[in-house]
Amino acid sequence: MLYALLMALTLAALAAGWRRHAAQVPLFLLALVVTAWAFASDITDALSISL
Amino acid sequence: MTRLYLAAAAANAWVLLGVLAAAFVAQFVAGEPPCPLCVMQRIAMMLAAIGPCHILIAASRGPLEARDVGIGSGILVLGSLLGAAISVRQVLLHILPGDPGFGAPIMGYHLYTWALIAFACNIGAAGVQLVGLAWLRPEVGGRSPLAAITAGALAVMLVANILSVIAEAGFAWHLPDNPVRYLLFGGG
Repeated sequence: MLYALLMALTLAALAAGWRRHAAQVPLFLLALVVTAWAFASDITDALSISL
Repeated sequence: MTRLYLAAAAANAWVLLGVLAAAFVAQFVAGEPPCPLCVMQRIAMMLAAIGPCHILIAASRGPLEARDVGIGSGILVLGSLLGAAISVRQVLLHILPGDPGFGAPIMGYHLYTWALIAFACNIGAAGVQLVGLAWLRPEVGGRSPLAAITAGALAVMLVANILSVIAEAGFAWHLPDNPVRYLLFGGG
């Protein structure tokens, strides 16, 4: 569900961009930071190192 | 010059959509559900694709200005840097001699290697677009359905990936490290 939520955030950023809404860049940055956090969690948690 | 920017942004977005489509082909035709790193690379690729879409949408609503090219290029660079970091991580996981890599190679390289090449090209393309601002003069790019078609295709790709990852992980918070089946359909 984490990745589905991240993609939903990305979709929201795209929709905001389509409407030329000021929320586009904040939504993009939020999705970017949370994806980076998910990646950092993946590489630092020895139990969840993926292939 | 505006037309050149629009052509570059459209090519950029559609190359990214092509790589994402190839990942879907590998997923469903070759029967290889994506691992967490693969899914995160897809997310980074779709985040990066918002950049060229921003440029196309801005040009479809009025004169293309340097501000819009700057925002679009910035989005492209940030998404690509994150994606490149994830791709490098996956390349390094399989760099030892004798390691077959994850998934089947396509045209000699695994998907994460192709993703790394695409992310590096994105960063180079964004640099060229930013330097080209020296010659950009605001002019109307002309009304064309290109922005709507490209943004629509990216939206469809996002929805397809959301459905795919829900099918793969079920309602679990994380994906399995080495997924081989779709948990939503009772494969766990």
